[in-house]
Formats: sequence, C-alpha cells, structure tokens
Amino acid sequence: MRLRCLLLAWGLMSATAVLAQWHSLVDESELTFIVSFEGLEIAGRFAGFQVYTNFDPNDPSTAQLEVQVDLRSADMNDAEVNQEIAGPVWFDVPGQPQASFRSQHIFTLADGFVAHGTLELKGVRRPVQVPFSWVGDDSRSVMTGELAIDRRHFEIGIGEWADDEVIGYPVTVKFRVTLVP
Amino acid sequence: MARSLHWLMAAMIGVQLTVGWVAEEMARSPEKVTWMTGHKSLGVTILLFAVLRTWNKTLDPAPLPPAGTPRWEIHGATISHWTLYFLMLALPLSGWLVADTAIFPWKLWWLVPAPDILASGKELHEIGETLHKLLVWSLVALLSLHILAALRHHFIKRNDVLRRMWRG
Ligand code: HEM
Ligand code: HEM
Repeated sequence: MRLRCLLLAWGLMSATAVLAQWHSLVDESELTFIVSFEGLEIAGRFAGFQVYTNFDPNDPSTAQLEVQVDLRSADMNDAEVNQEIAGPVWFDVPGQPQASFRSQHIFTLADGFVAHGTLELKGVRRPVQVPFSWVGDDSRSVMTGELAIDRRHFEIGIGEWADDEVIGYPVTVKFRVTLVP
Repeated sequence: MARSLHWLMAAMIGVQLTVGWVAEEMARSPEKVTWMTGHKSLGVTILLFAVLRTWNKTLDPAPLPPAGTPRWEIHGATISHWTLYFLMLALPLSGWLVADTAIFPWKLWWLVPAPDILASGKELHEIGETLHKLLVWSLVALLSLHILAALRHHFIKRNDVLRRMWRG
C-alpha cells in the first residue's frame, strides 16, 4: 500500500515535471470567446488560465497539453453581466469553478498541429479538437488557435436562454498563449 | 404635412414610452432583449422623424395663433413647442448614448447593425442613463402641459386650435 502510494506520487510528480517544460505567461496570453447576440458578435475573455505542455514541434506525437481555466475570471466588460454569467444558467462558477482541456494525442497538420483531447466544462466532458500553430524558439513560444464549440453540449445558457433566438449556439474560442520553459 | 407628422409622432412617442417602461421592469431575458431592440429601433425612427420635422418647421411654419390670444400664451406656446422639439431630438440621442456604451450590439429593426461609436464604459453609460431618465420625465411633464393646453383651447376657450390641428 505504502509502496503504491509512493509510486503514484512519483508518477504524478514525473507527469507534472514533463508537462511543466512549458508554461504560459498570464499577462501575455489571451483566451477569448465570441458568440452571436441577435446576429452580431459579442465577446468575453478569461483572464485566469494556464497552459502546461511538453510540446516539441519536431516531435508532437509524444506531447501532452493541459489547459486550466479559472471560470471566475470570465469577463464581458460589464460587472452586472459578469455576475449573471457566473450563475447556474451560464457557467455555474460556484458549482464548477474550473474548466480544463487535456490532450490525448497531438497530430501534425499541413499548416500546424491539432490536439485531440477532452474538454471538461460545467461538469460535462466531451472530446474536442484544438487546432493550433506554434511559433518560437527554445526560450519562448507562442501558440495560437481557434476552435468552435456548441454551447448546448455543455449546457451553457439553459432555461429561457436554451434556444438561439437571441444568443447563438456556436461559440468561437480563440487563444494566443505565450509560453516559456 | 406638418400635421400628419405631429400625430404620427405623438403615436410613436406614446408607444415608445410604454415600451421603455415595460422593458425597464423586465428581468434580463430574451424577451427583454427583443423589447429593448424594438425600443432602440423605434427611438431612432423617432429621431429621424424629429429631424425631418424640425427641418419641415423652418419650411412650413405653424399658423398664427387665433386673434386675441394673450401675449403670455403666445410666448408660453413658443417656448414649450421649441422645448418639445429639443426633447424629441435630445431624448433619443441620450438613449443612443445608453445603448452605445453598453456591451450589447444591436440592429436597427433587426436589419441594420448600429454603429458602435463609443467604447463600452460604466461612467458614460451611467451618465446616459441618468440623462435619458431625466429627459423622459421632462417630456412627460411638458407633454401633460401640452395636452392640457390643447384641451383647454378646445373645451374652455372653445377655439379651433385642436380642430385645425386635427383636420386643418
Ligand atoms: C394627445 C396628444 C397631443 C395633443 C392633443 C396635441 C395637440 C396639439 C395642438 C392642438 C397643437 C397646435 C398648437 C398650435 O396650433 O399652435 C400642437 C402643436 C404641437 N405639438 Fe402637439 N399634441 C399632442 C401630442 C404631442 C406630442 C407627443 C408631441 C411631441 C413630443 C407634440 C409636439 C407638438 C409641437 C412641437 C407642436 C407645435 C408645432 C409647431 O408650432 O411647430 N404634441 N399639439
Ligand atoms: C423619443 C424617444 C425615446 C423615448 C420616449 C424613450 C423612453 C424610455 C423610457 C420611458 C425608458 C424606461 C424608463 C427609464 O429609464 O426611465 C427608456 C429606457 C431606455 N431607453 Fe429609451 N426612449 C427613447 C429613445 C431611445 C433610443 C433612441 C434608445 C437607443 C438607441 C433608447 C435606449 C434606451 C435604453 C437602453 C433604456 C434602458 C435604460 C436603462 O437601462 O436604465 N431609448 N427609454
């Protein structure tokens, strides 16, 4: 039993050690979401999120990518609206304050990479594909990408907001992450 | 022309006040968004008509008051009519300020995206709200006076001011 605990701890430590090869700089990274509001775009951002990876553009297949998003930091530039979206109808921050993405496998594309993995948001886990580009050198790299998710899959906007009369179903998530070793 | 504009606008302003008050009372919901977009659209329509009407006034001046109207009434009418013109322009503009400094985009009659001129911001937004409310109540007060005055002409002074406004 003790041995197993030790092994487990060692395993966890080595996993984070590998992942910690790169971590994001909060002040130089952006994570935004864009949704349609009566047919026009409205955007918000998460100021608090972290990316950890051991990504190597020359050997992406062995890499792992992990993203932690602090949903409390959801900001649409309006204090009242921020309070509203933290509630159970939208992100349900008290119930599930964190969202995360964990890659299972990273593939190389003609014009970049794509991480296949699991997005966990508002207690729902679903497979998603995150295409991204990676530019930089050993001391500093920038990861950029964008993906579309359907807010219905994660029960974001329920009750009277459940249809798309005012707020559309597709949500574009964009990121620009500066990473350092 | 001037008279049909007057009654068309009187109707639109009546609807606009009602929509404004109803929407204000609603909790945030898709219905409220729909009511508010209607309110913004009708408000801008009123603004366009008010511009047209102000311009028309310079081309097609109102008829002279009935003979024997006391001076204070003439002055009173002139001042309140110009103030009404001012309010018909300033009120929708203040509403636009409220909408423009909010984070929500909107389309005029769900068709034409309204230009987002000013950045969203709490301070200007709150100034706009105060101004919009203040102008709403100024309009309501002055309109009550205006309607009372029109009724007084009709029923007490028994002249043709309201009738000529109605049919010419
Ligand atoms: C039931 C409501 C209303 C009644 C009974 C009414 C009645 C009248 C009457 C009888 C006149 C003619 C005054 C004259 O010949 O000198 C008049 C003029 C005028 N009304 Fe109204 N009115 C009403 C609503 C409104 C509304 C909602 C507005 C706009 C905010 C408005 C703005 C004006 C203005 C600016 C004039 C002066 C026109 C000019 O000399 O250029 N009225 N109204
Ligand atoms: C003659 C034109 C207008 C009238 C009579 C009018 C009247 C009203 C009334 C009665 C209210 C609700 C009560 C209050 O806040 O005191 C209101 C609120 C509002 N109006 Fe207007 N309005 C006009 C034009 C506009 C326009 C053109 C816009 C935007 C383009 C607009 C945007 C708003 C907004 C955003 C609110 C909500 C204010 C808040 O959140 O406090 N209004 N209006």
